[in-house]
Amino acid sequence: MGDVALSTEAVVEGFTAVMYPPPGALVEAPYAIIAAGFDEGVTVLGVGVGILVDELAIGDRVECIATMIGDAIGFGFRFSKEPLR
Amino acid sequence: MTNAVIAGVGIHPFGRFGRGYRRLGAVAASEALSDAGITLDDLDMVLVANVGADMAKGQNVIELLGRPGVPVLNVEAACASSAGTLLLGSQLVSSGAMRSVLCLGVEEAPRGFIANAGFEAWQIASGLAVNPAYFALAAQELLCDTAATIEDLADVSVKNHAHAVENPNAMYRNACTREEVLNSKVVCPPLNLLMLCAPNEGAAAVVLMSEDEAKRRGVADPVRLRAVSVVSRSADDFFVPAPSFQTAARSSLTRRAAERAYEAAGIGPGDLDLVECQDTDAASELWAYRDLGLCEPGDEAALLRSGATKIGGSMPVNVSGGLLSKGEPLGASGLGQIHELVQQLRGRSGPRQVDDASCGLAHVMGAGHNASVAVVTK
Repeated sequence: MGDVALSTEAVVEGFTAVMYPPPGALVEAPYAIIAAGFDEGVTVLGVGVGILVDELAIGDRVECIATMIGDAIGFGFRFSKEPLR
Repeated sequence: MTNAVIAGVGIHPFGRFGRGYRRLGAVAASEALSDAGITLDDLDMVLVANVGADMAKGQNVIELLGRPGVPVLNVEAACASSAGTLLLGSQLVSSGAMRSVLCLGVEEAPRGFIANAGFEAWQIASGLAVNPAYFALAAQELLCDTAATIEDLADVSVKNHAHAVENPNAMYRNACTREEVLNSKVVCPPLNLLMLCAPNEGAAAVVLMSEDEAKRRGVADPVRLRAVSVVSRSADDFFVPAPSFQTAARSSLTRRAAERAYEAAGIGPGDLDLVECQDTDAASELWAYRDLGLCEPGDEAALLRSGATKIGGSMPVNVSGGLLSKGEPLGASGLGQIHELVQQLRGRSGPRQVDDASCGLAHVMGAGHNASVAVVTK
């Protein structure tokens, strides 16, 4: 078993919204949780960055970006610069 | 296949009591012992299903009843913990290694978010440590990939709440309407508050014996535990809290558990008179219709809409009210389902009685890590 580098772009396969962040969350609600499918055959769960959940649709293209979560560097998904709609 | 027999059952109602798990567990345990016609000292082992309490929790409960000196072991498999006790207990009595085993499930879950679901620190900080979100994603998939609509999700809650009106052991005993469910507070769309179960407090217990031991003791009204299967997840199963999963079609832990149980019991879904399944949320019940083989994939909503899964229908599901109405005391849930099935098979369910019930199935899903299906027959 080795590491596989995922492409940075993915397709929204599913999403939901969180209204009340749980204890310990360092992000502000409301936010979207997105299940993003990569060409490599894996779907990754991540939080939407700068995404209003009402704007999301299955099939949207998102890109995975590094984002600050508190003082740490984490990852999230934002709409691709060139969305195919 | 096991030759284990359920010689007695006990329960403490599910709800919010603030009395501590020890007392809840002691009530269910002593009722089961008394129902089986034995005392604590007749047991060869005690298996206790619990998720959240401190170490030695089983001992802490049993000590309120006595000190039998036999092993008192704690079993944890998230919401499938109860099934773990049934699997181990039934194998011990079937093999002849033990004569009587008490399987007790007890939980005093905190309100709100289930904190110890195994989220990593980065998931918590990122905002991913939201249990309902995982169920919401599966619910959305159901609505996208099948004919199920949000109204169907609401109708699962309506059905189960209607069933619980006559269940004195359920936490929520008021019927609700489709509109009330659809208008309840949004938790993680598409799931509203009334489409999700609430973790709570409760206990349930069964006494298992081999068939021979039950006969030797002259147990009245035994019910056969024909099969118990427990399967753990493979690489292509979704679970809480999966950081990722395979994009291609996933396998179903529940379906594998069901297939094994049906094969071991020598029955098929058509032989069932009633089913108690894991309705953590309304969509989970519809997924279970497919995964337990009650309908073909895609026909989940049709089965619900036909009325077949209501009491009085051809395949009653969750006549106890399900987790949606009973609440979910995690460790106790599965044994609570067995309590329901046993009372049904004994004809003691009063207004909730399913006519001529002689074969029942119980299904639990432990957050995607372990799934279990048990079959009980007269």
